[in-house]
Amino acid sequence: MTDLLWQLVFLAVIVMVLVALRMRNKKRVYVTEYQRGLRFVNGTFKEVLGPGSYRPLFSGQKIELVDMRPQPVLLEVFPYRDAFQNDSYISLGLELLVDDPYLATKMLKDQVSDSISVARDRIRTTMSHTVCDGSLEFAARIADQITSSVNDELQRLGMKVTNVEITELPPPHRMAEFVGGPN
Amino acid sequence: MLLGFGIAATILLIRWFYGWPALLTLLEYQRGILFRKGLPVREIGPGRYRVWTGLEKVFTVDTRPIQVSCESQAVALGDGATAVYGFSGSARVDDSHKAIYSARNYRQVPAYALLCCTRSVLAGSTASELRAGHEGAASHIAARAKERLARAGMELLSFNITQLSIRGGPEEAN
Repeated sequence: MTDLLWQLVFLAVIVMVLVALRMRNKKRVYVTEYQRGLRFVNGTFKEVLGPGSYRPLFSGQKIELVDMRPQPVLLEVFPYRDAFQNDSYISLGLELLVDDPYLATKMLKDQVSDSISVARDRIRTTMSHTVCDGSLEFAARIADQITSSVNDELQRLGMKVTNVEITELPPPHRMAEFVGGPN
Repeated sequence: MLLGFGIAATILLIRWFYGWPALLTLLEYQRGILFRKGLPVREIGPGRYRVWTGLEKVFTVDTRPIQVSCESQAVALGDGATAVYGFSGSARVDDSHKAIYSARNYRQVPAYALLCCTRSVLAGSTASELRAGHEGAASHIAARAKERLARAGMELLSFNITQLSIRGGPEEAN
């Protein structure tokens, strides 16, 4: 009986040492509160992991980290053509953040710079349908329009913008010149 | 012998669940947020700490001032004149927890806040107001930036308009 017990203990220790040696190569992935982890098994997405400490249990498993914190972006003197085809510009600040970690990872290699390109395009399109009167009401209205327009596009990519702030509009006297219109 | 195996097995089990204890030293100008199982537990100051690598993580924050300077930027004023401005400022982390969550890189926040506030305040001013003295605009910018940085866990230490020249506007036209 004693011999059998010793054999079992010895076997258990051997197994544990082997497992420990195997696990040494599997790096633990630490997901903090402001991150999300994406668990892929054999290349297929399985689940989104919340805060915690995870260790891939076998070689086919991979955990990708996604940072959910906002990235402030400034667009200064951003040029566009308004509804009267006049050259104009706008300056604004906004915050980019990940809305859907899986989509963002699947669709974008560099979440920030790729999203900025999309946002610039949408801002230009939105502004091309407006004629600026230089008022604060216009700035507030256009900030809302830009937010919804950019988010419509970024939603497909798992990203979104918040806190859009118009910091500069073309001066009113230039607008007066533009009011003559395309004729 | 059995005791030896028992100890070895216990060590392996602890290592499995908690990892190895690691020593971490925070310097005088550093603060840290200790995360356990991914959630923030407490803020830690300078000193030496033991961290279980498999369970805990420390995010270190540098509390030394972050300098921001900007030169020769142009902005259209409210009355159609153009102002060319430059500024310098500095801010430091006041609340490490808020700072970590404020942006992907908290060191970018002071530059973003100061640039946004400066441009929007100047764009809302007129040439005659700025010609009369730009101290009012500077204090307005500083107040707005201070409030904004406080929301991001930072404190504005200084702000100065280092360059301001105005082109165009009613007085120059006369």
